[in-house]
Amino acid sequence: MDNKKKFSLGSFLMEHREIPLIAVLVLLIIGVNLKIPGYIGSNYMNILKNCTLNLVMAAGMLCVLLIGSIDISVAAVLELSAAIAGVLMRDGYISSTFMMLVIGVGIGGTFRLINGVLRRYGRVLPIIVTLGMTYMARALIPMDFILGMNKIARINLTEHFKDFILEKYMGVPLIVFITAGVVLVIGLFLKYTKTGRSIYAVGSNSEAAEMRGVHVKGIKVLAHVICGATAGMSGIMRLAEYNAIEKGAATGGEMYVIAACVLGGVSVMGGYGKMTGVVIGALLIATIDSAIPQLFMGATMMKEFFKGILILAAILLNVILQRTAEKRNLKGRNI
Amino acid sequence: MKKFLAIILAIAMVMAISAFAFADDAKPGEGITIGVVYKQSGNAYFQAGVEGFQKAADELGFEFMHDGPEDSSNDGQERIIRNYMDQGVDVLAISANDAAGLVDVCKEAKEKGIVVLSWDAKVDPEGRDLDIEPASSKVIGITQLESLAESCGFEGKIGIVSAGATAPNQNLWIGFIQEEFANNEKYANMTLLDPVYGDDDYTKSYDVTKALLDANPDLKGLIVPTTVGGPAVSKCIKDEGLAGQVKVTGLTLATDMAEYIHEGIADATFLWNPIELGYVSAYVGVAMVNGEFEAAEGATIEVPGFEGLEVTASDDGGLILFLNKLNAFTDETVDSWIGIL
Amino acid sequence: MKKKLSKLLRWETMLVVLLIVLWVVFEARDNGLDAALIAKGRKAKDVFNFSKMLNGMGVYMLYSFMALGMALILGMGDIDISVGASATLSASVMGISYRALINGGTANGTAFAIAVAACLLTGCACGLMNGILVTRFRELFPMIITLGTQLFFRGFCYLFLGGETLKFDGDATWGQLKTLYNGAVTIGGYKVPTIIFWFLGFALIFFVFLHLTTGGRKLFAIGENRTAALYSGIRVDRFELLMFVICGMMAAISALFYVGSASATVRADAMTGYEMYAIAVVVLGGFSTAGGKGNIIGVILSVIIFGVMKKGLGTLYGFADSTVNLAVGLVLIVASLLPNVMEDISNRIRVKRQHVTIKATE
Repeated sequence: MDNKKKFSLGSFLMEHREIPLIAVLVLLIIGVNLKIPGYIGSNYMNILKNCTLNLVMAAGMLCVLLIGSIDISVAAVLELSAAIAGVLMRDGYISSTFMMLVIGVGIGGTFRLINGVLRRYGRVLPIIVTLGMTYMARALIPMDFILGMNKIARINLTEHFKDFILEKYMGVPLIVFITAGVVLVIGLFLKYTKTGRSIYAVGSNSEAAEMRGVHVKGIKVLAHVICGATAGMSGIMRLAEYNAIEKGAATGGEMYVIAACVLGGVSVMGGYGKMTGVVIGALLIATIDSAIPQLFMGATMMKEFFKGILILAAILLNVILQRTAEKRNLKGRNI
Repeated sequence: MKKFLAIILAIAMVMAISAFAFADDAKPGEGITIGVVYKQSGNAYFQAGVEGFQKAADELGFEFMHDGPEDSSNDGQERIIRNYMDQGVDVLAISANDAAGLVDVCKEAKEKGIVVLSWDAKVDPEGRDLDIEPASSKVIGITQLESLAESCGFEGKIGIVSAGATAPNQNLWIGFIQEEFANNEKYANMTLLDPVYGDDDYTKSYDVTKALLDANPDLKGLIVPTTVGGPAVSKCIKDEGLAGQVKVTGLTLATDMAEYIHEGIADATFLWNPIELGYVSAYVGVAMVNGEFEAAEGATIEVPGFEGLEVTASDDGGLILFLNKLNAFTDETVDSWIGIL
Repeated sequence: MKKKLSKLLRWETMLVVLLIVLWVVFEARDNGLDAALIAKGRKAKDVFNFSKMLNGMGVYMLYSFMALGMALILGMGDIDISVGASATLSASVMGISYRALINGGTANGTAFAIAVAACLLTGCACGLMNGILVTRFRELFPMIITLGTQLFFRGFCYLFLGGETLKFDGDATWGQLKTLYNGAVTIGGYKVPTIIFWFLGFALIFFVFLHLTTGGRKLFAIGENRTAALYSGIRVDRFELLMFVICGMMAAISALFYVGSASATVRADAMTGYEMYAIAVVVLGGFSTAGGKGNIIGVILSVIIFGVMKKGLGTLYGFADSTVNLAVGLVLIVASLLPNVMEDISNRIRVKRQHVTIKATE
């Protein structure tokens, strides 16, 4: 009887890998709250707002990780799409906010399409393609036909575009709704559509998937394009939120995107990962980000230090907890 | 025969033109090449500096090249400097990412007979011939403090949102602000909070401002001595609905701040003019190559539009030339600077 | 005949051809520029030549030591993104330990020796941490783990140094680091920077290890198939751990040269992005990121090619420093695309040939 109970707990944890993560998140929140009473109550909206850009990109990254690939060019793609769209708006080619989002998604998608094609048909390893792409995107931005030596500032943007994304509806900024929308669409797509399930199938066993009639190469390219599209989208969102973009504005951002996914229990080998996990992972990172300066006011250097430690520790802790669950699971099966 | 005539005519024309060009060649900068190295490529501030060099080049007739590393790194600047040395520049005008880090390569350049100037951000004394800076730190610090105090009516609580905690320029200015604040009677009714740091990062600056505003609801004003911080702080004040209640001043670009200045979030912000900085640097460089000017304490130089440019001893033991000109961006003047600064 | 052809088509041969092509193109462009200058009645500058290239090579070799260490890691099919950060951490530890020792009254020379040792040890420690995590947490992949440790190491740099620049430029003992980077030996009229000898020396050691000892064979066996290597009696985890430690140490050696190049100063944000340069060099050198193959000679060649390319594009074509990175990105992608395309083509030819033979026998 006792064993059976253990067995079910183990398999439950295996089924829901995000549970240990929630435990980490709750522990962190409790810890911070002990130090600064009422901290989360007053900051939750800020945390939500701060995790949006990371989360949108992480949703796309999930698709790429699911097929067993990886993309470290997301931050560069974000800058590139924001820069191009910003220049188009500055020079008066675009005035509609909606068109900006479309353009952003388009640029990101196209950039990653090249990426995906190279990856699939040229069989170049993902880290190399995306590394090369990062170099190229960052080198393109300061060229004269894009940003040159200038930057996009508030003055270059239309009245509506400047402020729409932080406007509050029912006390929640629009950017949170947009993010929720993207996350929901990709989440539902992965879970309930045939193509979405194919992404999982390709990631866990591409040969088997091919035999079942899945167009493996097409699916892989699709996953890359989704990732690029979300990166492009978050580029526009960033431009709308901060009203400014320069080259290098998001340097290092890819680390936090990948960290959000890995924290969320997404397997880097492909085939396993859930949107709920990614959301919690992104929330955890945003919480760490917002909590540290409150704990060590003014000491920005300390922030970098603790952020690195906490993210690494959270990733490792997550794996250890999962392993324990797995072991229990196996033990249960033996009996 | 016609062909022959045409050729003769053409040759005569070419000769005439070249002779004419030769006659016009009295420009002092002819044949001089200047290599301009700045902190980072794709930075609008240095774009303006380059404009100054361009303006001087049109007047003096020298050639110049300009570049900065992508990642504002020390070795990137070294790479560019070495490339320029290979290309045989006569003057290097450097805005250094790290004052100490470039000393060796600059020494090497000096040994080759290249004039090494630093502008905007210094190279340490051993590595440079002359440092050209906009205004002394004291002038910069006190101008900001005075302007903000005036906006607040000389009472209430004010704070500072700076760049990095160890940014040398900012800390120097803040030091002068704090000193003046403590010693000058007219600030007796005001409180100055400890500075907070946004690390020259838009998001971080925004977040620390928010935290500061939350912690001090009675805040009257903020000094932001960094171009990245200015718009971030103003945006935060605007988003919090505190426009007009909390005043901003600082060192900012006009393009970034125009809107906030018009909205009354900032009454006046300041910046030196990188165009003038580049312009003067170019004049100094050309004069030094031509031997008309030598960097020594008390030496003066004539530059069109400037008065009383004199080399002084700097705190670091080297030589420095201050322009001592600070531009104020106000509701009336800011629009004329949009797109330039 | 066929064997000869395939030998000629080796990656290293292609690199040599690429180098020659680059050189010829640059030389021609340089002559063109000079001719234009002379036509204008000015002095020729002769921007690009062997002695100038040799002399200015140092700044393009700062990451070459890291690249050697990275070659070991890529050869095993792993990756280490934290090398840039571990190098900076090593340099930071060197700086602060020296300062602490001097303040504690230790003699200058001793303090410096201890500081350099501390630098190398820190590099090893960083590698050790990477190695332990990589071998213990296989499900996370080296890429993710080193991404994490990179943040971790960089965090330590900021903790130790803050935003300060540690300066030792007036210090005679630290001048040794400067000569390590700046020093030059005159051979046959050419000034050859000592950093080149150091690099070639290390490259020789790595060449011997990788291609002439069982260690190298073990390494490539692991890269080819880790499970098979394990079952053939290689202590995979221990070996891999050791390689990560060596990689960390090479990062620390890069750090020594970097500190020399930066006029004996240390900063917390130094060497950001160096891991990418190192990876790019190794991949262009013919190491597959999937592991199992590669040659140190290729790495040596690609260090030179990157140097020549960056210098040439920058000085002769007026490419901005950032634009040069566009070329680097392109080269990186093409370099890893080309072998696959070549393989595809040769496969297709082979299939066709077999087809023909089958038809002929029919």
